[in-house]
Amino acid sequence: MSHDSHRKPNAASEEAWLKEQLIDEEQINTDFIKLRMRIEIEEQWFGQQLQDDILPDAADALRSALRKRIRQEIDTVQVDQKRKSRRHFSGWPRWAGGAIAAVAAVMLVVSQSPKIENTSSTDSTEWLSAFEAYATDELGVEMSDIEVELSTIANALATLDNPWPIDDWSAEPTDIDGYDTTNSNWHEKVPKRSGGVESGT
Amino acid sequence: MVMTATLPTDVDAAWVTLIARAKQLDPDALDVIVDQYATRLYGFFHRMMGIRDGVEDLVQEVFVRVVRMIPQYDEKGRFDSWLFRIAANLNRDRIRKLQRHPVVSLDESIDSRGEEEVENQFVHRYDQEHSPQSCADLNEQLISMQHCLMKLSSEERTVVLLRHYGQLEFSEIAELMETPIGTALARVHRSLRKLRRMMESET
Repeated sequence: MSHDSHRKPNAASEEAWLKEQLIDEEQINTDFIKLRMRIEIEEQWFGQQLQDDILPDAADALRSALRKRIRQEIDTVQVDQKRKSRRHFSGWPRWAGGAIAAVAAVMLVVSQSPKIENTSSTDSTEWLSAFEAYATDELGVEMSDIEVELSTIANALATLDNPWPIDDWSAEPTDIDGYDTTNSNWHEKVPKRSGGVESGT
Repeated sequence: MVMTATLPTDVDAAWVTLIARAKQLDPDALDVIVDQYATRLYGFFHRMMGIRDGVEDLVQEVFVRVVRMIPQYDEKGRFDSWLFRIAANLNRDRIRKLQRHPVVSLDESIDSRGEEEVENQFVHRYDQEHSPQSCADLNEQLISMQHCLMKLSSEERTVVLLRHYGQLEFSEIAELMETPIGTALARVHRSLRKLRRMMESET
């Protein structure tokens, strides 16, 4: 049936058109039923050809081997899950994910900077434009793609399991991995455990 | 026609519970799935490949993927469809690998091994249940069927075997093969008719 035959005509010929559609649909249904019946017959014949296709003793050996393999795989998956959960930065607050992503973005830009032309400019807009041109022309990636990737990383990091394992969620953290966070510039200092609070580089 | 909602039966409820346990990687629940599907998957791969070598590895790989992927299984579609989609994808990967690094072409896989070797795969299968004559007849029929199956294209063979061993609906086959449902229907019909004609001309 052509595509045009489905187009609804004007009111004058609507009845004729409806009849035509009805006939067509009946025809389609009939063809479909006929085809299904033919397939059914062929499938019955095919089923008879392949009846009792599996060796019973081979099936038992197969099941036994599969059970063993499945248990091995369960162990592997569970060990893998435990390892992944250990790798989580469980003591870090949620904003740490965003901070890491931001650092990653800066590192990405800086790592590419020697290859970017006209980077002597101190104007950040110009610099970013130069980077965008470089990324598009030389690396073949769009800035929007990079942004999407970074946002994915940031979101993933921000939703880490057990980000702040303390009982009192309202309390401000005072010590993160050895850093004294009561100091407003705590992130610029070296950890307390390495010998007092000193200025970083 | 009035469509009526089907209430879940006890079997459905038991199956839902089983899948929920399997999603928690309960080995006993996965054993039930193995019991239910292992032989059908074996048949699918065996008839796809035409030889038994490597079939067990492929069935194992399906279940390894089940263990890895079942926690993400969404239960919206039928489990059969999900499982045989994994099997069909594995089979497609195997064919692509063969095409990239051809050792033995698919059409030659039986011929190059020799008919005698292929026949040996089926010998003694029915010895305890059938008379020697009927055993021989059945073996001959299966060998002949396998020859004809291998003469189909891999796509034709896949749809026929997904229907037979996977018991997939045509809509599920259409989705899996990324074709309209009419194409899936026509492909199954054409393939089966082709098979029958080949079988009839062989006898």
